[in-house]
Amino acid sequence: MSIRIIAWKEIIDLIRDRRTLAATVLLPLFGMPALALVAGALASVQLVHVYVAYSEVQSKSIAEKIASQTIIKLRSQGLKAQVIVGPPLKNLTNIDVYLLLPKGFYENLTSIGRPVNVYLRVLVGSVSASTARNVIKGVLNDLSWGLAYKRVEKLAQRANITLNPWNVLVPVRVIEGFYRPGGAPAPSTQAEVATTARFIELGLFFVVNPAIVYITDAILGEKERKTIESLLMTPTSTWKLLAGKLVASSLIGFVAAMADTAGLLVYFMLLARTGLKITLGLIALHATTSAILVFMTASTVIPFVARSQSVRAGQSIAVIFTSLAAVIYFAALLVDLSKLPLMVKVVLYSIPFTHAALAIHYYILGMKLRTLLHELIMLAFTAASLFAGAKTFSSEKLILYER
Amino acid sequence: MDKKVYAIRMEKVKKIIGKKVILKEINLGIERGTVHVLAGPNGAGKTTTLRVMLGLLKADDGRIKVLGASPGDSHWSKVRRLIGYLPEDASLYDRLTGIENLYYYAMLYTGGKREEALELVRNGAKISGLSKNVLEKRTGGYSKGMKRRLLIARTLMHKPLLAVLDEPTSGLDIRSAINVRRLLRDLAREGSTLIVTTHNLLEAQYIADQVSFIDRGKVVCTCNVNEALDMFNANNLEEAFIRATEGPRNEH
Repeated sequence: MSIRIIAWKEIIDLIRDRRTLAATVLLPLFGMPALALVAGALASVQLVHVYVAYSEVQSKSIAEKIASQTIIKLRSQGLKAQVIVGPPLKNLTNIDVYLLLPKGFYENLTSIGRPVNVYLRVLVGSVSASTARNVIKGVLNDLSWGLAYKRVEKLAQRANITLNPWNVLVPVRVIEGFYRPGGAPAPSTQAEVATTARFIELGLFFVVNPAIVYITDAILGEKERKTIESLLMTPTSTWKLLAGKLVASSLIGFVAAMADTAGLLVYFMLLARTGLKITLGLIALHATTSAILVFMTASTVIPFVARSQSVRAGQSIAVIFTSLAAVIYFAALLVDLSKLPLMVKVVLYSIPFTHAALAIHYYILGMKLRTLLHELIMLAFTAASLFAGAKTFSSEKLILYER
Repeated sequence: MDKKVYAIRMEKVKKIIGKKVILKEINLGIERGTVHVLAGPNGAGKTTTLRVMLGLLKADDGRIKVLGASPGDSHWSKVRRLIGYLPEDASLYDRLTGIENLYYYAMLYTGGKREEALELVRNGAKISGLSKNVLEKRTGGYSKGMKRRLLIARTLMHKPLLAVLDEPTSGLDIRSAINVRRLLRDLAREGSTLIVTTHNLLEAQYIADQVSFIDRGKVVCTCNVNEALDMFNANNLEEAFIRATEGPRNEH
């Protein structure tokens, strides 16, 4: 009962703290979508200046074709482009990318065996120039393949051979497939979802932070607001006091985690063109893992925070925990946590945050029992930390100020 | 043989914080149903004595018995139910209303029994003397005096067998301070034991049955108010206190 009462007070206290509440729910909910929207909006208002120069009149029509293809591709990426076709320039001021079709371009293009050189000049240090460069290279690549196809076709005609030019141009075809760790085939969509899962593992970091902040405030805030002494003199036992604060911090943290999940979902919807895929199962798993992670994080921090003599010391501990989580979840984006050498695994597996990433990792691989195991390990960490927190709780440290 | 019934006994209690000896040797016997005032200059060890007495700080040496139990005993949490403690710099939860502040503690004291808790809240509201309208507002907007009144009410609403109040009337206006003193006397008359620290020795003279002077981590004397006046040949407790604590001082 005391746990419920303590949790009730913490929740009321937090709900009425509108700024914190707004930061709890609105930041994760709108933070990531806003990031995608702002990045997209800024890119769409940015004008990319491209100049396609032709040295001979015969090359003009090809220059115009390259220009129109470039505009289409840049627009498809949400970029505004100004592509000018004209004679060669001496001064490249205000040009992001300059493409020159030199003298002899047309003659070489229409020959059967000569290389066709073009010159591409790119403005250094410009993001839009870099994007335009990639787009133009893509357009030139298409032109090159088309040219190669025609050349092979012509050679075949001259040699009086019937063939499909693509078999000459691309003789080796890769037929790709995916499989699960057990060897069973996996659809290609699962590989795409796995990529999304890595970003979701990174997103777990956003779940950790609020939980640490709330539990630190719930315990050390009592000291800061000078309410701790009276509270410790009530008949409530230490473990009930900590458990009540844990429940309240976890509930608020869970709301933040749900907002984070929703934000993540909208983020991926906005960035749909990147090819990242998300499934209902993955969303549900993320929500569940987030809830347990919030609970575990808050309880793991308790033994350390409850022995801090000052709010500043508590905040330092919070920063250490947050940094540790950031390292784990960033690493999960880049490496397979399950495939590391044993010694590295031992170290990583002793860090509670690792298990949230592993739970998602194994779910994607279709190993649901492993997912369950790692969720249970997180719950075990929670119980052990709460026990340690209650056992090592020191009212003396909370009451006295650092000397 | 000493036949007095003590609410609190402290024998040779010592407390070191960091490298500093805060309590050198505290010997204190506080009889049940009395109002006992702890008086002493700033830094004498009054607050530390209370904290050690209540188990909030661990004594480095000595014996403590509070209502028959020692802090840290297995049933200490049950003893805490019988105690009301008001720290000197105690505060309220600013985002909770006055009623909610009382209700929170009432629920903790009654172990979540709602009806009993509501009864305590009603009692607390009465003790505070604050209007219903004020009690329904968040305490963040209260004046210092209003906060203090509510804190005293929160400490005494469950009619504790032992009430420990560190400077209870500090920050209160004269009328409220008089009301609090009257309340403390009433509570003692009903059988509660009260331990009060105060700088205001005229107030102490009004409410105390017994007084202990603490100086430099030691109890200099414990006696009835009249005994203290006789012992130090003083007209009032202020004079008695000055005489009791005279002598060479090493300020910390």
